[in-house]
Amino acid sequence: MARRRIADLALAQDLAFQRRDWAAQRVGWFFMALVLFAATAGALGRGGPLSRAEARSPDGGLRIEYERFAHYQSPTSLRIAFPAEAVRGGEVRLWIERDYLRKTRVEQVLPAPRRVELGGGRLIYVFGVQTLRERGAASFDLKIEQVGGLRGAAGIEGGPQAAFRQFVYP
Amino acid sequence: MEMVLRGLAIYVLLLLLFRIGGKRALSEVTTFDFVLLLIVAEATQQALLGEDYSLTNAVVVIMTLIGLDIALSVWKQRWPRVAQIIEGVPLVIVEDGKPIRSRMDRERIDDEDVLSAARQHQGLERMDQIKYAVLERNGGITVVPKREPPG
Repeated sequence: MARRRIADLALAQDLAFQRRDWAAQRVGWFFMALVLFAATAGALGRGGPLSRAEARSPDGGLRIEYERFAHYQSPTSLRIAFPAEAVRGGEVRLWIERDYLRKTRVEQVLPAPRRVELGGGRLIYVFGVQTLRERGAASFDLKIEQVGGLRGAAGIEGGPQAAFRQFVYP
Repeated sequence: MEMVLRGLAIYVLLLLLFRIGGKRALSEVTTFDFVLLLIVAEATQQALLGEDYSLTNAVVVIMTLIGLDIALSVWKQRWPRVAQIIEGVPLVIVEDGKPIRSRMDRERIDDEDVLSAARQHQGLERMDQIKYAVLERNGGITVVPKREPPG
């Protein structure tokens, strides 16, 4: 570092650099404010108006509530609501794309499915249903094991389905 | 690989944030600054380790951080410019007993900060006893007293 002398003082003061430093700091503050604003709005996940999203099947019968912006290895959830017509023979056969599940870790499914079947690139969760007048729902608590964009789809076997996209922050 | 990336990301981000904060940010002026620093450490810890609490992970993360520090120090030694960018430069804020307001304002320092440093390290009483006060790269203020006339 150039050791200039300021009168008697041997000091690596560099006013030109200092001025640029200050300017860069101001730019940094601006970006920090921007990030905090985005985070408050939900663009960085964990709540906020931008964070929660809903995908619907074309007929509106199936609804998937999901987090548009999720965090890597942190808890998130899918809530899949289906119409009463989805119940056949006392069961609901709800599938989720296997590709999606491969990149996530399902921690808990509520209600607990009777069994889980594998078929056609899908994992089928079979729920027992006693009576259902209007609408039922199942929720999946999961952790996503991949950073970046992620596509998923879910539906009722032989019935409505919907797709969704998430972005996972590291 | 993830272990090294986590260490790298945290190192770079913290470096950047503390530079943006300026020299005086969290330089332990008050007790609360110290508490804030502890909270920053606490918030960082999770992101550094993730869900892996193994010894291997800890060792790799620590080695990443220390390794980066060594690499950076070598780099700084070779290229003075890099040292400037990473550490900032010292700044004279009082010359011959006169505070340089424009610089002090930019660094968010007031007379009391300077006088406090002068009392603490030099036992000085007034601004006019200060020959130089320098805001150092670490955020501390150092004071050079005027020499008393003999007699």
